[in-house]
Amino acid sequence: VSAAPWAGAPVGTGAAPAAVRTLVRSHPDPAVTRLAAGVAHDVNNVLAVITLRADLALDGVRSGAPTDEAVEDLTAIIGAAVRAAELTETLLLVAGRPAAPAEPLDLRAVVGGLRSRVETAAVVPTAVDWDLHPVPTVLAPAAAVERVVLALVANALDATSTETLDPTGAASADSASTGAASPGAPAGPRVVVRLAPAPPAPPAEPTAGPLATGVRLEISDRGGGMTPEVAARAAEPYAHHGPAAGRGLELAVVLGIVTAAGGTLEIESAAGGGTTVRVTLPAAAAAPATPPASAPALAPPTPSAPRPAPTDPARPRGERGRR
Amino acid sequence: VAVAAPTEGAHRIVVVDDDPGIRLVLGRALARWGYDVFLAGTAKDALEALQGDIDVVAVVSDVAMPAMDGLDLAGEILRHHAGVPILFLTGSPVSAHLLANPLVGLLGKPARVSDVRVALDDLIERTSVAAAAVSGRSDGGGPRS
Repeated sequence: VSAAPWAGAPVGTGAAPAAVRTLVRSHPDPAVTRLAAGVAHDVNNVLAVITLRADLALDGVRSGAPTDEAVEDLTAIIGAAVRAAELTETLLLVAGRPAAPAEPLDLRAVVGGLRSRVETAAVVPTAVDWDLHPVPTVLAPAAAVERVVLALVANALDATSTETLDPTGAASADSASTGAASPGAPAGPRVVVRLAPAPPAPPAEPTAGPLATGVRLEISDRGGGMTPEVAARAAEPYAHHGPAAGRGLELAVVLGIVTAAGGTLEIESAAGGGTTVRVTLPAAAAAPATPPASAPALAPPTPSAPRPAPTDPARPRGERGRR
Repeated sequence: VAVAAPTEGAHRIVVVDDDPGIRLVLGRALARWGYDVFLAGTAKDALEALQGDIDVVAVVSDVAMPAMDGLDLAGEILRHHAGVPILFLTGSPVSAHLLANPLVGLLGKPARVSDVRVALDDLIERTSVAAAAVSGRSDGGGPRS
């Protein structure tokens, strides 16, 4: 057989090229299978609401029923379309492609701004302790960063929840945090949110480079913790509760946002010993390091308008997220 | 949760779906067709509804649900509530073995309201035929297959 590449040979001018038979295998990655099945489930549910509502509205209009119900159905259809759009936005975040552009952010202001929102919504407002220090500016989309914080706080609250909020008795959200706080747990905050400059890594550490200066956000809970095996898969789409939970993407979203911003996500946990989720983001290269000491403690971070929280940390877990 | 005051003698249908939007709209459609509807957010709630005094003519259920899924629910219903058919409204796969049972029907999500009605009528009809066959065999003492 000639060594000449067959693809370049003129048609009909020489010996037939040696064909290569390749067995095309099914995709071996179970994570892709789970993601596809989970997204299909969520989209089908949205489409089911749209078709069923449209049919009811149509029947109502044809039969001369009061228009109130048709208006309600049409409103629900618009709501379903908005849910579908949120799902595609979520998928883009999982893919590390946030729709919104990155902007310089003072994370202390961003996280501080979420504090009142969490406290207003929380069943126990004192459940979360906020330890926020001045930090260097980072580059990320504000709404995406807010989503990261709210998702991680919600997961931590879920992991330490002593109330039976979920009638199914299912465990917490995507964090895979397992088990609730032990009955004998000490009083005080169940969750601690810490924001501080990332300490410079030792020079020998390979990850030192871009993260030597940056921001470290830690969310710690006193929940049941998880094994290293569970922690390693915690951000896989729909890894822990299947599509049924309908919110199996939230930690995958967190990882996508953090990665897109050039940061890292770590989970420190021991079964029975609580969990700390650590997000490290690099400081914006050209931005001023730490805000001057005279700066207001919680200055508005950006001119962008605040967006509604995609995840409400204090809602019962059975109601959070899309189904 | 009962969606509407039942008409006298109305047949009860239990709707099970963890998506409240789908529960609600199915409930409205079924109530419009004259059924007495019970809405359950979990398989466990559905099983409790089946324990009650009101006879249930059918269960319409999702498959993918937290805790107990629709397939396990069907297993429980077939074991402990003989004669109650179950219609799956789902985008998830259902085993051929389960679907071979005349008391089990399948409709893919998303479905049209008319599809739900046809599938449900068909399933209830099949159930009554199966029940008549069983009672006929019992009465006649004929051989069972």
